[in-house]
Amino acid sequence: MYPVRYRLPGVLLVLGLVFRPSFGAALELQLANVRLMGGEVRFSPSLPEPIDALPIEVAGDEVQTARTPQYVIFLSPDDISLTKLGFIRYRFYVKPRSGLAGGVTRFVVNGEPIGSFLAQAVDVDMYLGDSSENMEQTKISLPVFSSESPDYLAAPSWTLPEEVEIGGEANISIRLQNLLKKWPVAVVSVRPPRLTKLWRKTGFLVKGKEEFQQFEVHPAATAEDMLVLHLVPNSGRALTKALFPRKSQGEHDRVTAHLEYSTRWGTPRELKIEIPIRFVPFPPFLFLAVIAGTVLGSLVSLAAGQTPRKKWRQAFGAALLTAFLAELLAMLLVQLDSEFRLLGFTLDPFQLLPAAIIGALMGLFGTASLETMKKALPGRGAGAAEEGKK
Amino acid sequence: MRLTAHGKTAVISQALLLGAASMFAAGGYILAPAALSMMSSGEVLIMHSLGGLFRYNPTSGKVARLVEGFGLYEPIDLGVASVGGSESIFVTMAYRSGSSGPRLVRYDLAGKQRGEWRVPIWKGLLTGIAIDPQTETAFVATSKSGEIFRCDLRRPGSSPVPLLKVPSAVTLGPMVFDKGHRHLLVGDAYRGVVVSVDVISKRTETLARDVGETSALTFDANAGQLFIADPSGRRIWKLDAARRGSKPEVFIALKEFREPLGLALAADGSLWVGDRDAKTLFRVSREGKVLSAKKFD
Repeated sequence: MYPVRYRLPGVLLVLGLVFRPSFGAALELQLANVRLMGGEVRFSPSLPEPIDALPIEVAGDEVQTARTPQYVIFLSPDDISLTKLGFIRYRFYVKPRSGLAGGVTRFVVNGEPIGSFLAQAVDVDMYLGDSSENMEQTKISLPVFSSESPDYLAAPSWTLPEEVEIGGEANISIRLQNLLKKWPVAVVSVRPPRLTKLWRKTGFLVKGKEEFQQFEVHPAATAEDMLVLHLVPNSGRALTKALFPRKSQGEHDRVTAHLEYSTRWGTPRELKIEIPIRFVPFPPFLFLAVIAGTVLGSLVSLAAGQTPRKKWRQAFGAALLTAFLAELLAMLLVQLDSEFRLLGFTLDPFQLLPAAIIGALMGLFGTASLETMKKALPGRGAGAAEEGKK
Repeated sequence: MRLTAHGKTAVISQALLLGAASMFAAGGYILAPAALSMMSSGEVLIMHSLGGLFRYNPTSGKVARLVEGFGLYEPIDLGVASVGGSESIFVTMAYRSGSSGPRLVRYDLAGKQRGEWRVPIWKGLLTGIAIDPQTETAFVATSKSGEIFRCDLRRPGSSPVPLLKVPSAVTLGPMVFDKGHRHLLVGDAYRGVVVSVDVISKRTETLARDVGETSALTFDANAGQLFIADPSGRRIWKLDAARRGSKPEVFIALKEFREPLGLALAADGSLWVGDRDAKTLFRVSREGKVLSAKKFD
């Protein structure tokens, strides 16, 4: 209703022009479309709908307000959502500023995201009034996003396999990077790697918690060790994999995990993480493998008549000592990012079969293995041990 | 405190058990209904917004999982119909990362996939679905191109054929098939309109305007009434579709409604309303009274 009534139409017209806007007329709300890097958002408001009272609590920090000379506009974060059909729905409430007459009006504005742009908050020009000639302007910050937005949570890709001890268990920290500058990203659920025969258990833990719980990665931040992948291998099968690997580069298995993440308003996204796995034995087992290899090698040498029966013990002792030294040296070289090569073969001393081969070779050579060992030392032989980046 | 290997194993096991226990604590799953459909058994089929199909038995109150999830696909809409002598479930879904085209998937009542139909990625999301059992055809709507396609259900894997492009459409959403008139009733969720499409002549006619965000439709062919879910206004509209020029009216608007996205018509005429945000399934009488409200959290 108009605040005052006049009988003379001419007077009404003049006063109507002076006291604009008149609150009895239907309000109009318009939002200017926004262009973004990679796309745009087009806004389309619905018809105004008068309601009895503000249905939201405006006292808190969460509700955003924008003001024009005549009106206050409220937007609650709960009233922003990405619809299942892919557009953004904003529900605004408008009421006249204090001292001015009029009720609360609700507007639903649909934002149609076009193209592919990163989820972000943008300042949008907003126009409000009771006619196109009488629009007041203000700005409001709106979150914009789309189902086609680029991924905004990233995990590194593994170039080297993660080591998992046979008979033990592994906790692998997963570094997560939030690519959004202003919004936190919540990791809402996880799907651990499939439980194949190779694994007894696969699961996720969150730092400081005894189970997975939803957590947030702060804006433009990296969570280094917030999420931990817990793996327990099936020892027997892991040992078989380690002894007879099918893939090169020391990779015995590749586990795939999925994380579901979201911003406050977006639809959940999925991040796929692939981790190459390499099984390593418990270190004392490596020396047992060396012993076994040495026994085998020295017995072969004995059977072939290379080592006289009387000197077998002495030859075995020398071979075992050399084999241990070779294994230790190899471990040291590999730890220092070098390569261990024996008789032209690259051997990984942290694997059971190569450890046994080192032992077997030394066993075959018997006392001569000491000489072989000397040749293998850098600077003492003809490049039997070569350093080089893996 | 550093846990031993066995300690950690025990903790993980306990966590898994606790998680499972909390999930079933209220005798049901945590569900956010994003679409509904009625099954011939009288059960309500619920599409969970994060994936998965569930059967809700209104008599026993029990919920059973039918399809665990859709992998990298996000479900959009749902339909159930008896086609070729067997009752089937049809789900439209979009690829989450947008690098693959949307698809329509048919499941049997055991939850096994029985066929799929793909639409090119540039057509946008595959949204609404309506089934014509007589011709064994599924009609699917697309969001970006405003087109309706027909899928030959006798030929799984065949390419959907364009039926028509709905004039002025922005985001086509839900659809129902009016068998009597051989019309599709289609909602444009973005524009808040409902359009009638004659599938033979391909003529279109706007039935209703300003009905908010038309996110779900259900049609009572006997009464000629169309019900429209409007999550933006948190209400359900009713339209007398049989009467030409009739205006939509608010059927029910509850303060408990947060985001009503699913509608299904029960055999007794009552209406099921699935609310994603409220995680609730409402049963509403034709007089607009709430008969029951089942919360899934």
